[in-house]
Amino acid sequence: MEHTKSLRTGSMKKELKKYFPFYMFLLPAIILVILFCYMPMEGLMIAFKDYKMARGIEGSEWVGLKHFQALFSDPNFYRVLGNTLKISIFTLLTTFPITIIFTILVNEILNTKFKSVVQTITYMPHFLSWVVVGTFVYQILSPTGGVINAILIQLGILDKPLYFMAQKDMFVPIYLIANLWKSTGYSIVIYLATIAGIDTALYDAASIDGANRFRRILHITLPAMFPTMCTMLILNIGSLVSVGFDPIFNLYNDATYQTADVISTYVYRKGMIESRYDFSTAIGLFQNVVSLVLVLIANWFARKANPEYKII
Amino acid sequence: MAREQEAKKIKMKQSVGSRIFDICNTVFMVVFCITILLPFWDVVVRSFSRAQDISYMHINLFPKVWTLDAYKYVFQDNEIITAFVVSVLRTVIGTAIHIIVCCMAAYSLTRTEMPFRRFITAVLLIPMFFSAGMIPMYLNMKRLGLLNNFLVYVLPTGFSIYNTIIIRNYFFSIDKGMEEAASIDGASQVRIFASIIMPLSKPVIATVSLWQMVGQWNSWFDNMVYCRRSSNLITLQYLLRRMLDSLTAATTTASGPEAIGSLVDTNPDTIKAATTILVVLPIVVIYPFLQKYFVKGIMVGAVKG
Repeated sequence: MEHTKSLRTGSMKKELKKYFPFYMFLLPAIILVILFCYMPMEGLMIAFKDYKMARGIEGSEWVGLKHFQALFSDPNFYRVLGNTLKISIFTLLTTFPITIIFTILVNEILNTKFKSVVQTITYMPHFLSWVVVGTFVYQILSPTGGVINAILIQLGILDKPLYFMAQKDMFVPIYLIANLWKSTGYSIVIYLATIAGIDTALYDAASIDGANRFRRILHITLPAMFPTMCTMLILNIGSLVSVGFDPIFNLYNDATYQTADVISTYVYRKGMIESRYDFSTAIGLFQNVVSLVLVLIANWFARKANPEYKII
Repeated sequence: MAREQEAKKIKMKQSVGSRIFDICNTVFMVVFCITILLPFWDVVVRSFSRAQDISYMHINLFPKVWTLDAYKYVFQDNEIITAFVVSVLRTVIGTAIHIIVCCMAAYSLTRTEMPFRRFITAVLLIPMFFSAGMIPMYLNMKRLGLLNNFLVYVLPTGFSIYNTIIIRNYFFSIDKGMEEAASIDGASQVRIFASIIMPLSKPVIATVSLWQMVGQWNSWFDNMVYCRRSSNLITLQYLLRRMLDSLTAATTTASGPEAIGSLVDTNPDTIKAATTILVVLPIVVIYPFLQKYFVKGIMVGAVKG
C-alpha cells in the first residue's frame, strides 16, 4: 500500500515535470483570466453591502438584501426589465424568420457572380461597430438634411422634418431595422453552410419526379436547415434577458429612455454616471444570474434536440 | 439520356413561374444591396460637401461642390490624430498579445494526457458563462491601477477561450510525426512551438488575428468607462461616439430643428462624416481578407465544434 502510493506520487512528480513547459505556456492565459474574470467577482459582494469608496469592498458594511428590496420596489426596474424582454422578443421574431427567408432567396440566386456580390455587400455591416451604425442611423434620420426626412417631405407625407430619434414610439422599430441592416448578411452564413452540405442528387431526383422549385425548397432545403434553426433558436432564448449594451447605447437618448432603456444601459447610468455602485451591482447580478440559468437551460435543450451539439 | 430530356421538359414547363421568381428575387436583392450601401454613400457625400450645403432639405446623391475642407480639418486636428494613433496601437499590440497568449494556451491544451488538464480547462471556461458585470469590473480595474492606462485596452482582451479552442482544433490537425522528430533531435518544447507549430498554423492565426483586429478597432466601451478622462488615450471610435453624444444632447435639451442648426456650427456634420470615413476605411480595406477568413473561421468552429 505504502509502496504503490509513493510510486504514484513519484510518477505524478515525473508527469508534472514532463509537462512543466506546457504549464508555463498556460500561465499567461490563467493569469489574465484570474485578473480580469475571477478577481472582479469579489466585487459582487458590494451587491449585499453599503459600499463606501473610502472603506473599499471588504471594509464596507453588510446590508443583506437591502439593494434587492430597493430594486424590486423600483418602478424603473420593471420598466427596464419590460423593455429588455420586449426588445429581445421582437428581435427574435424579426431576425429569425427574415434570416431564413433571406438565406433561401440568396441560395436561389442562379448567377454565382451576382450571388457572391450580394453576399459581399450584405455581409459588410457586420464588421462595423455600433458607434458607426448609430452614426449612420442618426444621420439618415436627421431632421436637418437626413435622407428619410427629405424623401418624406418631397413625397408630401410630412410637411416639416420629424426628429425620428427623439420619438419614443419609434425607438423599437428603428432598433429592429438597424439590427437587421447590420446582421442579416452575416447570420445567413451559417445557414448557407448547412445548405451547401445538401447532396445535389436530392434536388435532381426531386425535379425528375416533377417537384417544382417551390416544392424543392419546401421539402429539401428547409428540412435540411431545421437542425441549425433549432440550435439558433435555443441559443437566442438563452440570451433573452441580455439585450446588448452597444446597440441600445448608440441609438437611444434622453427622449427615448421610456421605451429604449434596457437592463445593461440602466446599470451603466446608475453605476457609472450616478455612482450608485452597490445598487447597480445588484441589478447586474440579477441579470447575470437569470442569464446563466437561461443559458444552461437552453444548452440542455440544445443537447436534447441535437446530440451532436456541444457548447464549444 | 431519356432522363435528361425528361428533366429538360420539366424545366421548360416550370420556366415561366420560375423566371418571374428569378426576376423578383434579383430586384429584391438589388434593392437590399442599395439599402446596405446607401448609408455608406451618404457619409461619403457628406464628407466631401461644404458644411452649408448639407443641411438643405433635399436628397444629395453627389456633393453640390466637391471639397476636401472636412478632411483638411480632420488631418489637422490633434485630437483626431491622437485618436487614430491610439486606435492603431491598440489594434496592433492587442492583437499580438491575444495571438501569443491564445496560441500558447492552445498548444498546452492539445496535451490530452496532461495532469489537471480538465481542471484548467474548467477554470478557463467558466467566465464564458458568468461574468462579474460592469461595476465590479470597473472597481477591479481601479484596484489594479489600470484606469487611464493604455494596458486596459490590450490586457483584458488578451485571452479568449473561444479562439483558443479554435486554434487548438487546428493544432490537432498538424502531423504529430514532425513534432516527435524534432523532439528526438533534442528541440525544446518552446522551440517546437515557435518554429514548427506556429509556422504551420498560419491560416488559423490569420483568421483569429483578423477577428481580433476588428474587435480592437471597433472597441469603445473600455475607453468610455476606464479612460474617460485621459485625452491622450482616446480612441477613434469613442471620439466618434462623443460627436454623436454632443448631437443628441443638443437635440434633446433644445427643441426643434433651429437648435440643431446652431449645433452644426460647432460640430459640423461634414467633420463628423470625414471622421466616420476614417473609422470605416480600415475595415473596408481589409474587408476582402475578412470575408475570406471569417467564413472559414465559422466553418472551423462549426465543423470541429
